[in-house]
Amino acid sequence: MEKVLLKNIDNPNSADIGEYRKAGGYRSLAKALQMQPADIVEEVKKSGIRGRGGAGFPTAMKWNFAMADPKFPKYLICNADEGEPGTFKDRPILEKNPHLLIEGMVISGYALGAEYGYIYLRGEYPAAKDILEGAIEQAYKENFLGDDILGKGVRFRLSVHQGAGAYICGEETALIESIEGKKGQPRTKPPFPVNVGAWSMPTIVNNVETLSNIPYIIEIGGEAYSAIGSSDCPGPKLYCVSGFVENPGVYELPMGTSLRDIIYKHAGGIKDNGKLKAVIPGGISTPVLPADAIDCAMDFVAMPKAGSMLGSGAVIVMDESVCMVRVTYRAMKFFEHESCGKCTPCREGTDWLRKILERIEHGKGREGDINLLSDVAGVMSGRTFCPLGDGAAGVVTGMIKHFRSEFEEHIRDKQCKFRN
Amino acid sequence: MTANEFIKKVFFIEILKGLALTLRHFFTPSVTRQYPTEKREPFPGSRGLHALVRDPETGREKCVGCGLCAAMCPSQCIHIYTSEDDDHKKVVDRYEVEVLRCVYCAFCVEACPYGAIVLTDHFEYSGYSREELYYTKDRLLHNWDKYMANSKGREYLEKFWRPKSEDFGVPAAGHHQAEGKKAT
Amino acid sequence: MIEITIDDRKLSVEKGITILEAARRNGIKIPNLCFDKRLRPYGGCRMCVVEIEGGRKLASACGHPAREGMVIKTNSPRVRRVRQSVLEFLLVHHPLDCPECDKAGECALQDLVFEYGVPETRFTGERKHAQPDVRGPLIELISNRCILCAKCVRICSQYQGRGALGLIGRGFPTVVQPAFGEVLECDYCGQCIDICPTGALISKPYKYKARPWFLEEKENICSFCGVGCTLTLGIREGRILRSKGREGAGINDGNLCGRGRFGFDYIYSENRLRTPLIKEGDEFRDASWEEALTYVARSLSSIRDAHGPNSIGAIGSPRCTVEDNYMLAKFMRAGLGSGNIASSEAFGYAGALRAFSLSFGIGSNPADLASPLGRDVILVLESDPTITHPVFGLNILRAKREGSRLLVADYRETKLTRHSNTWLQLRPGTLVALLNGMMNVIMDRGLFDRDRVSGIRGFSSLEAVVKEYTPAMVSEITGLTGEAVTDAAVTFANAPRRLVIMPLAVSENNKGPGSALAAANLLILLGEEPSSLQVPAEYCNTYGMLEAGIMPRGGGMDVFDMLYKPGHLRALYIMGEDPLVSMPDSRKIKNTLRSLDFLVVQDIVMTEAAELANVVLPASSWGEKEGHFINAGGLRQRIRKVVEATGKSQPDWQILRNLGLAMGINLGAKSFQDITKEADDFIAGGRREAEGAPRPAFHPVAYEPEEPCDSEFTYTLVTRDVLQHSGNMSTRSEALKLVQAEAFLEINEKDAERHAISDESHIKITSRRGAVYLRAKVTDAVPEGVVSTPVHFPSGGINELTHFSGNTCSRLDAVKIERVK
Repeated sequence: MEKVLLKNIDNPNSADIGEYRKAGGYRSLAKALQMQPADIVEEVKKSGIRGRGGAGFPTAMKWNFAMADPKFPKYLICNADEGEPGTFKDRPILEKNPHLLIEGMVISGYALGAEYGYIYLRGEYPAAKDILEGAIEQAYKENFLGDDILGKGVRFRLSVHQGAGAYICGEETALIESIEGKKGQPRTKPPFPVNVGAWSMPTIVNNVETLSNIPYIIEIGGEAYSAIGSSDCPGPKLYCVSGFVENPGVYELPMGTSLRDIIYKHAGGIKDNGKLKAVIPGGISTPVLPADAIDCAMDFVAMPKAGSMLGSGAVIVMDESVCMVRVTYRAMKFFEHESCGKCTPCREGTDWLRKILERIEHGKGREGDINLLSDVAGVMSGRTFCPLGDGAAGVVTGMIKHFRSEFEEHIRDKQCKFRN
Repeated sequence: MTANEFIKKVFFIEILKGLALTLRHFFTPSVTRQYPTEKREPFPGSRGLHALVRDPETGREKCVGCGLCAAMCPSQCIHIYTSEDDDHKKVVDRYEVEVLRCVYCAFCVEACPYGAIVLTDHFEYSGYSREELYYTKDRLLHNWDKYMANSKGREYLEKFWRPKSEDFGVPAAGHHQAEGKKAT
Repeated sequence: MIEITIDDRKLSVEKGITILEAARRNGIKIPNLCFDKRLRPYGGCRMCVVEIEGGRKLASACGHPAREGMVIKTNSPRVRRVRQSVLEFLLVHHPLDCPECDKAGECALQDLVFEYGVPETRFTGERKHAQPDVRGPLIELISNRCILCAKCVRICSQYQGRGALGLIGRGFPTVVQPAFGEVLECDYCGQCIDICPTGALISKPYKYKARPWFLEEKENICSFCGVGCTLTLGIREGRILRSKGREGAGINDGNLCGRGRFGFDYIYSENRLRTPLIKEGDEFRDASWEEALTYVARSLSSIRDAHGPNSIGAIGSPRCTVEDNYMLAKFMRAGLGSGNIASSEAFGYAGALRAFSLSFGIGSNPADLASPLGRDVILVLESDPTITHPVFGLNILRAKREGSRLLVADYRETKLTRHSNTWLQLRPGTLVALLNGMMNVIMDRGLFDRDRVSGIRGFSSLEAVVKEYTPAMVSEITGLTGEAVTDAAVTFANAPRRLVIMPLAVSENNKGPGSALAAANLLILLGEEPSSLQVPAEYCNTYGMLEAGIMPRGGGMDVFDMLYKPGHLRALYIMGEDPLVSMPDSRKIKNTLRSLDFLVVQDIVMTEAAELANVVLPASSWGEKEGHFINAGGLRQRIRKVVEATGKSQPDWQILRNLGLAMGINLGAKSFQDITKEADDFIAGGRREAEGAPRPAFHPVAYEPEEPCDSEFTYTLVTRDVLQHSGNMSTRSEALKLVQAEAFLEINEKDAERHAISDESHIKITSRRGAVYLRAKVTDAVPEGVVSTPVHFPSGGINELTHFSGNTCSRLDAVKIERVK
């Protein structure tokens, strides 16, 4: 398949606007500015693209909600707070292909009637910040950004806002709070950001990958785009494979490539000819899949049927040497650290789960701890304010579902057999 | 009158029977007690004069002044006044029982979360004025020393009151027990 | 309206409200720990979850809007299970120190645990590390009882506009703390204490004093400012232990300021008078009521007989009830035949009344506490209602939050200027120039309806006066830029719904009736009604006192003749007022008082003026007597006797009645009911007389500078109110003294540097009339060249410096500052 998102990426100067234009960049913008905003949204709707942030919400639908709101100004925010462990799909775009994102944002901004854009960048991507800012400066100079883009009288101003290292700010309302200068905590929904977002104005928050797909949709047209990959959620998708594989990395593949193909065909199979034990298919907050469940298409529709979620498409591969209790404990430590503390079940639950897992892992588990874990996770899931708590609970329930015996062994033997 | 009845009358049979009964009672043990010269040992758990439990560790009252006893008291004879001490702890300035109004229901003992008040088995008290029977904190603590100290008090609480007295623990302010207590 | 079903009840509710709100309005209880109707929905506690038919997840009722046809279950087994688990989560770390906690008995968490059952504690392990408590003079924060509902943080920042508390940290270790974990320094409104669902925030004066179930709760009207909030007093064995707000009670609807919440204990001041005192030589001796009243009666009678009734004067009190003041007026007018009745309000609200009657042609203009809501522009003039009338001030902040533009013209930085859209920092006392300048701009640009306005009396003279106040000239006087004046004028004139707020307080010397007239001119020019000029009366019964007849009528002397001109009076009867503290130029007053043949002071405490009296009569204070207060909005509210009178003190009206009897005058009041009825009829009569449509007229006011600074007296002294005090009565409160015990002088950092004055050091401040020593407070809130001080404190003696003149714009004083070595 022709690379769309990672096009030109091997060029050492790919972040430069000259190189980007040489490879055909900003042509879609010129094309888009000839179109009516409504037509652009129509193309996006035809393309059937779904948000790449993890939830898979149809992008065109989100845009339509925002456009239906008469309030002005509107804000377009690019969610580049790529904090999900195992996820590094946006990073190549941000660092190697920033103009693709900028082009996508300008087109989206024009389509949505938003004149101000923000890239909410993860605090831990300092290199990307410099690159993005450099790219934005270039784009301003070449009149792809500014008050009169390409002489068409279109206005779009873009700036980078760097987060301070909070995972929760990847949640769109917490992200908006953070941009407003407040403590990063999610807001009550409804009202949704598309109606009451940043500074109480309609705000569209889209993922880096989603926005980077927009120029391509404009280029080839929505219908042609919808033919790529799965029919329900078409388009190219970035899969990032990490863990015990021969060739970890980011792979641009058509949506719906099977998990087995991703691991064995593209990532070169298990490292050192090991045996696959489990896969976390979409970032740490998606439930784990055991080795025998990897024959599923990696898209937004098929994954829930397989018992997990596509999430951000971050495939974490684990072989037989990995202690699943330790994985769960490490994951829970992350969630406890990143819980914002706003809602009771997540704040108290993650801490409690972490403490139970810690003692199981350290050979101090007690009888009934597994039931307690499922119980606590059970009362957390679906009752927390935002998906963070759900994710934390999902990890525990998924692990216990597939690897209960390992937990039992830890408690029975009062030690972890993977440690020497 | 039959001959039988006549004989009974002549020989005072009924009177003799009666005297025999009297005679028998001369030799059976008596049921009455020569109170107050002769005293009865009260049954364990009997409810008499109030006392405030003295904490053997601190030498002070166990009471924290939560006021639950006063809230429960049906005759409203308990008055508690608390304040903050220099260490920002709650101290009981006054704990007073109007003994003359007490109905000895022992609700106060039941309500107390710390097992800090007891009803001793001392029931013989009297006075010439109401003031004498108005028990202040010091007098109530003195009652504990006098009537319930040592094993007697512990036994009383363990045997008759739930939650059992070993559950009673006064948490020091700021430091809470590491292990949660199973609620009863 | 939409139809929804909650727990099988079909309800018709307003569109757009949340499920929780719909349930509350229909009396259905949905438990919650982080909801308050004053705050935006938070959704943090997860207690208010409900089941919506057809919904996959449970929804939190506090943030979820009700939609047409929703079928909601608030108490299904599934919902109950979630709530139980939330409580279990909370109890994992919440200490079970209920027996010691002041909140026990009225704790929301405790109630919910009681309702949902104590969870089996499955958590075993280390508990959350206990944070050190944050102690303050009035509010204490006990961190480990906190359940992180963030209500305190939100009410402080969102509602109170202060933001003294914050959520520090993230996730599980989050704590509620003041900045840097230091002592809580804030407005001390104590709203956080009431709103806290657990015992994490508690009132220090009430700490460990009594358990809630020992308290008898009685409601009473607050005795400080003109808002007239309802306090819920907790009384144990005849002593008021605490005061709090109750949602739905009174016009304040549960909101209180620090004065109302903590200041009630002035009635327990050790200075309270317990028995009548008669002066013999230089000393007072205790006397019986009979003796004291006979003495007063005889003295007053002989003075009246010798010098005529006009040689006797009386001063009423805005702190006393309507009945007390009515009785004083009646005693003077009907009893003694003297019309010399005055009050300190001659320096304050009475000036506003004069302005209303001149400009709008109305006798009264009661303030409307809800007036700021829904206005497009609110202009606040040289005052901070969040200090003088805190609960009224909350409505200004709320209006701002809801989209009103807030313009504040003030010489100093205040909470309101921080919240304003535009802060017009003018020089103190130059308000009239600013208002004239705004009118100049409006006239110049034709931003008013000339056809309609030009017919109003006085328009041509207004035009003539205002013409001179060009933005350039105003800029020179006020120190504002010409554009700022123009912008303010244009913004104000172009807004469809406008409001001007300017309390006129006895204690402020930067405004006067002239300022109110200038504001009225501006409003009449724009075709506004009198209700657009909000001048809330200062104290709890200022409005009622004036309505009860405490004002010179029928040729009686006013306060200026009585107190500033020795020789006019032979005898003076002062009820509940200390002119030596509250009125300017106290030296002159002192001379006058000394020159009197006979001075009676009737008060609750020993005051400075009482020291000079021949007889001091002990009056019962607020809370010890029945009566009525009329608040700034003209609302008559009953005050009740909740505790027994101190010592031998008696209600003021009763003392006056008995004095009347001793003088052989029957004032006709046998009982409290009689006097209430009579006072009522009198006030109703007065209100009927004042009825009638407004007859607006322009009364142009020219800016007059007052006591300009010169080479010797280089600073302008501005007297003002502080948030913790109201008049000088609150300085008797031990609790409020913990926050602000003595007078201080605010001085700009640069000025302080110039005089080598450091914070907290003593300085001597001298005016042309006298000198006082004060502690310095070096700040950047006041501009250079201006010093500011509160007047409340009798010990401060600020009014020895101030003066009184005929200038209606302001009565500022020029002073000099010296460092005390």
